[in-house]
Amino acid sequence: MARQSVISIITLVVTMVLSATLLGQHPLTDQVVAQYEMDKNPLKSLEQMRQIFPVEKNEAYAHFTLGYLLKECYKTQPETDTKEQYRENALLAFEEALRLNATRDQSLQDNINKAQKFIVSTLYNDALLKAKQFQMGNEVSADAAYDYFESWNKKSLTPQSSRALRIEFEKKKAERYYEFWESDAQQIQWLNLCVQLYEKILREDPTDCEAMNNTAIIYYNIGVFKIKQIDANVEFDALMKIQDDALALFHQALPYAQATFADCPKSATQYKALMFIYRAIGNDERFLQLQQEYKNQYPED
Amino acid sequence: MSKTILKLSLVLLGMFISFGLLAQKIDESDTRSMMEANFLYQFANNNQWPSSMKKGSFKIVIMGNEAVYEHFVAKYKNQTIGLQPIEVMQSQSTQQLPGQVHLVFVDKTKKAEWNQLQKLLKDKSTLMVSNWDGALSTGAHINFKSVNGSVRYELNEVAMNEDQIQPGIKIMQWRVNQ
Repeated sequence: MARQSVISIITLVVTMVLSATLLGQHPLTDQVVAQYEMDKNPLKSLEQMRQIFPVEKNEAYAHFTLGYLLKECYKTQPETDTKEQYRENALLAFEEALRLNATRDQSLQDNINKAQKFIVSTLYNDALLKAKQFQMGNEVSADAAYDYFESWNKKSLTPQSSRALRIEFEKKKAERYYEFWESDAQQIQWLNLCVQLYEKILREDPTDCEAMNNTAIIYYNIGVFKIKQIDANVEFDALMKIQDDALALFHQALPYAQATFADCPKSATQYKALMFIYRAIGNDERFLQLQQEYKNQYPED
Repeated sequence: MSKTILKLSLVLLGMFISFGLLAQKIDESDTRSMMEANFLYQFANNNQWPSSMKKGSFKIVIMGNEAVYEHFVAKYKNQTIGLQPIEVMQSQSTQQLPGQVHLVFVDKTKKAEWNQLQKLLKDKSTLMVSNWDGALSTGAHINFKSVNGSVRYELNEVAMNEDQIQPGIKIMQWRVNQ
């Protein structure tokens, strides 16, 4: 009887070891998870996870848990991410979890997908913020942030459509250039950079209303700016040349304003853009007609 | 754990920042009025008035078109024509005109004042500038017109000479045919 019990216990242990080896077990990771669910302290759980990780490093679930805790640490302390590299390490852990997920556990796959999406979205947000806030001459920081986002986006299980995101990012950069110009109207190169970006966007999506409208406005504003530069020091010949240059810019602005007006939801800005451009190129009839429509549509303005 | 992760992830999914659409602000300045103001300064600077009018301030009156007046003031009010400081004023009617005026610009919105103005300024060597079709044939010395969208001007040289205002070379060079 005693001998039978010993055999039974040995059989049970061997079965557990074999199961753990063949099917994959992660008791230590499970302990960390259980602890985390109790105290919700990602930093503490991450520390525990790092301690037990070498034992279960061949388990997809262990890598996923490590990545998940890194992600939660980032959410708790995003300001330390540059130093701690929570997000990058989390994404690397998810990559490894996917590689080890030989049985294609669908729920694990789904969770990795969601966690990846979250982190990738924060990388994109970083790029947008950099595009919105970069200092003069340092737009490469924004570009680098976008490229970093894009590299991880491509590697994720379900990448976001990068075309739409790229366009949004470029619009933020264009707006930043415009802000630089607003702070010093003499520095016309900012407007040129701004309009280059909008034209690039329009090559990708010719129906982008915001890009069309802003392109029209910027070309027009550059023309107005040139005329505003005329003063008593400008010779007669130069004055005529400036006027011709400005007129060429107004004509460049016109098709964008017309397309916006025809194809996009109507707004006061569109009306103004088109009517002022018509006035600037001497088409008083269209200017007055639009001005009347504008007054009817937006009586409060 | 799996359920916990799933729940947390769903809440935070796809939180891309959106700053909303941003339209650039259009400059509402009236460029044609600005150009007309620029030309008025060039007319003042590049024509010659009789020596009797080269004393005191150089008086310019703008009738109608606030934008022309404002741009002229902003850009040229501290300038001189020769040694004469520019004095620019806005007038709503002929009754507000000073005795001696070097240049009067009458906007098309003040066309009704034109005949009265001509009577007042007859033989006074006042350069009369307008901006409507046919003004040259009714006594204007210089009239703005739009040529392919550009602000240009036509000029009545005979009338200017009769009023002892000598058109400058550049003014003659850039005029368009009537």
